[in-house]
Amino acid sequence: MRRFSANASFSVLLFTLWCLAPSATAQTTGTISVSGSVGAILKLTSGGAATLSGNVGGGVTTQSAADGALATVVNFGDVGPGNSSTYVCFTQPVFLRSNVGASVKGAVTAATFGPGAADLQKSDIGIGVQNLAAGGPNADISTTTIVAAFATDPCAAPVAGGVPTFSRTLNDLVTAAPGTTLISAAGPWSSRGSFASPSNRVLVDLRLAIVPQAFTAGTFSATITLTMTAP
Amino acid sequence: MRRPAMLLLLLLTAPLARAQNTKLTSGGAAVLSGAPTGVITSQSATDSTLTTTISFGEVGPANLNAYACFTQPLYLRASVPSSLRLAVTASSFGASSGALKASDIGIGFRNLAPGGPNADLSTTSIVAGFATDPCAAPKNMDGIPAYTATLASLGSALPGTVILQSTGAISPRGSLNSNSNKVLLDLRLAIAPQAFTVGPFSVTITLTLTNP
Repeated sequence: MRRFSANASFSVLLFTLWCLAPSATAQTTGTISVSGSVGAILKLTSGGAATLSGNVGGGVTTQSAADGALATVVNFGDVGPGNSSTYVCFTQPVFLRSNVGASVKGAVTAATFGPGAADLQKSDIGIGVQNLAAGGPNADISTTTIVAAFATDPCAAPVAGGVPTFSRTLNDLVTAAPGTTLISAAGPWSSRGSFASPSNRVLVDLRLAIVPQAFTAGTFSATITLTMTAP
Repeated sequence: MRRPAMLLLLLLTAPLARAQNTKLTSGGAAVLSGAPTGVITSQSATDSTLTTTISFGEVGPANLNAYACFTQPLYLRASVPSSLRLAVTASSFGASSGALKASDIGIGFRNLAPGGPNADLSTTSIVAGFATDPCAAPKNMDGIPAYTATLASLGSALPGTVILQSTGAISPRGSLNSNSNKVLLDLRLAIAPQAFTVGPFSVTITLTLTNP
């Protein structure tokens, strides 16, 4: 009994000392906290070669490469009765990319037209947006709409007595940028991929049309500025 | 005579029995590159408890770098066989399919090396898939990378997914505070800036050195 008690006391002492013995405090875990963000970004570029048809004289004077900054200069040539084409039709392909809902707006930021009633006016230049399409598997046009009256092809507008009825003309665009909404998307057009990727771009054609008529002789010019905005 | 001798023996062995025999600490200054608006918010001193906080900043298309790349040096010590395990213990990502996800953050381990003459890597290997550099991952023509491992490859429960294993001691001699027996290793994270859906994200990675 006495021996048992001594051993028990010794064990208690040993346990106490074990508990009090210095233990190592080595570190076995660590943490890395990571964060970041994705900001809204929009990109509107040339969608490739612009084309002009039905023209007599004139032509596409300058244009940028596909996916370059859009800067095209076009001369419609003679759009008087000396041009027997039904239409002089200009088509500008455009690439659109965005990772948020976006709108494409157009404004006539500069214009020179004759003052006479029979001069060619902004209202004689039809405008429309055609061929909206996803350029690849990472492009989404499910939430995209072309504003109704701009969705028709001005180069196929009905003509009566040689005078066309465009559903929209340059006269329907405001003069201050960013301008009048042509296309709007509630959601992003581009999902993943870089903004140089062909897979996440949206394709669309901007089209302008003039029906050659007995306008007063003279010249005209107009500058159309396209701007993509969010939303 | 017998009791004091036994007591002395036990007192000598007790600390060994209780001691942690693995140690994981910061291996020095973390580095962030390809992240113009990113920042390393806080980090611990070399060989102290690893607690690093970083922001990659902008990783959308506005960031024109091929990769936003983060490197965290680590020190590992173990007097027993050990495993380095990682878990994503917290995360917040956008819900849309176009949002940045755990699978968009590449992870890899590079530059495994002995830190001194008493470090032994002869029985150590990095688990396949985690041994490649995510900051050099190949991309397809759309700018989308093909990582061999991402944060989606890690478990969420501690201690997590094994990424490095040693069947023997990596620190066979010296104390666990010695410079001579530490093993050096770089943890690397990468994000290829892309047209992700707008929004923030965050994730916490917990590293644990276990036996084995």
